[in-house]
Amino acid sequence: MPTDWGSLLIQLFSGLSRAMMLFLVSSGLSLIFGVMNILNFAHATLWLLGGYITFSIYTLLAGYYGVSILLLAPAVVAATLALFAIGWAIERTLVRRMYGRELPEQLLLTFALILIIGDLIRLFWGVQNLRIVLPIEPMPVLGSFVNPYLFFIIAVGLIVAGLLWWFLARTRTGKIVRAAVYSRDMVSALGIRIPNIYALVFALGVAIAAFSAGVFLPIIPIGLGMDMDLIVQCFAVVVIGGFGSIVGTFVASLLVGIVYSFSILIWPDGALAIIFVILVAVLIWRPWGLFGTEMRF
Amino acid sequence: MSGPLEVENLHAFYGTSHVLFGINLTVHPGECVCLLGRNGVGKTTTMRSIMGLVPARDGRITYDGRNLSGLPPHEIARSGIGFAPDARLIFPDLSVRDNLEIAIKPPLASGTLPWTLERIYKLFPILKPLEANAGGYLSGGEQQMLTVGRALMGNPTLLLLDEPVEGLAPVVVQELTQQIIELKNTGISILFAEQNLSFATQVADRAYIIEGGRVRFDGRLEDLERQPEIKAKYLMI
Ligand SMILES: Nc1ncnc2c1ncn2[C@@H]1O[C@H](COP(=O)(O)OP(=O)(O)O)[C@@H](O)[C@H]1O
Ligand SMILES: [Mg+2]
Repeated sequence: MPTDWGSLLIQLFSGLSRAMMLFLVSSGLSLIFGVMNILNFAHATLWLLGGYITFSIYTLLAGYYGVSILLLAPAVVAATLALFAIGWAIERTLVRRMYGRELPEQLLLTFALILIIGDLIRLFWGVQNLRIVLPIEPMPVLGSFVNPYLFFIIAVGLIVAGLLWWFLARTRTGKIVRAAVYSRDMVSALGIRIPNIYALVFALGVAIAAFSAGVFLPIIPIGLGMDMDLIVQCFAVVVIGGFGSIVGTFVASLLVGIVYSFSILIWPDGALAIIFVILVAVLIWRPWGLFGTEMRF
Repeated sequence: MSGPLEVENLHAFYGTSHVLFGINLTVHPGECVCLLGRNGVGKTTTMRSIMGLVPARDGRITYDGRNLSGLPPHEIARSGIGFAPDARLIFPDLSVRDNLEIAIKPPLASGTLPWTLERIYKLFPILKPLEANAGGYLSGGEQQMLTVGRALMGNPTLLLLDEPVEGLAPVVVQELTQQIIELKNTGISILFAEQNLSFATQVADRAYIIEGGRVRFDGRLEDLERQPEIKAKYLMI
């Protein structure tokens, strides 16, 4: 195991950037479960779809204007909006039929979505991994080299986390979402159109996931099957943090991202196992997660 | 002025267990009506059915000329009904002020004076200094006042109060009784559930006694006073 400060620092930055992605995907998963009691197993598959759409838009733009990191921005924005719309449509047509149903039925529907979207991706983009290659000079840090794009990812992750916090803490709609995590019945008894809140939460969660997929394209190639790895880790994050708690999801993302990144250094095959050891330990100590609450109505 | 609430032949179930067996009741505009009965007789279920939170299997519920049967709760709230549930369901991580503001809904009739934070704090002065506190950290009485205040912010013409003074200290009960009487004087219609006669007699014009999911008595509270056998049979005295 390399013990020089430089490579530890690199591992820390890669852990933090991984934590940002985990947070951006898990926050939606956690909110969707918190508000609608739906476990969206297809969440990471929609994340993947967002990545592919970003790739295509970027490639199209780069074909006209040449390779440039600036072109990634419009591609990410367009894909985020596209996934917001797709998320809204999926909630209004399919997911809404699952409210109040048993978990196996939810599993069936979301698993069907995973297969359908996976096949659509295969059809449109093929089976090879795709990535965006950008000319980014590595930056020397304490004798090692760090991809400065990692700093960008961490900053963007923090900004989106901040925006999400602001939305939930300060806006009326965000407060309604938090109220709905506690009691959907009471929210609707106040005359609030709860179906719109459901659609918004689903679409927003999916859009934020798609955003993170796009932002990560320059450092990780995307390919079929990545959604399965990611969803497992996101469930770990959400369970550790406590379903429905955004602060919990954030803290758990940092924990899982950083621990995973250092575990890979020490024991590459056991990184995921270590995450699950933490998960089990948290569940024994606090069955409702670090920041979750027991009471729900 | 809005029309009456009319519940006709209401049947409700929890799964396969039959809980309400043809409830009939009416609340006229401006009236304060009490659902009286012991624990477990179906008062809460009646209120939740009116609100659309428990599906009515049979029967008809109309308010202000509008058929409410089968409507989702938010539509029922939008036809002018405010709900203060017995579990209170104050949103615990929202502040007192946010709990009130989240519930804002404009009045249906243009001429009416809308409820504002100031009016709520005037009716329930205890809430004002707690404005910034999280709803989860209030005492029972404060929570109950916030529950009623939150329902009022939606400018209802009919208020459903489920056991508003249950479990509260006697001084708080007195305070809340005065406040509900004050509220009644604004002209709002009120339907409330209660187990004890003493609170009911202070505020209600009329009562329905419920037992086993059926209405067993329907009349003015003065008339009930003259029928001790009914009181003994169906109420806790
Ligand atoms: N969620 C529920 N599931 C099953 N049975 C219920 C539920 N809530 C109430 N009940 C039953 O329905 C009956 C009426 O309850 P309720 O309407 O709460 O009475 P009250 O408000 O008069 O105390 C009771 O026998 C109670 O046990
Ligand atoms: Mg009750």
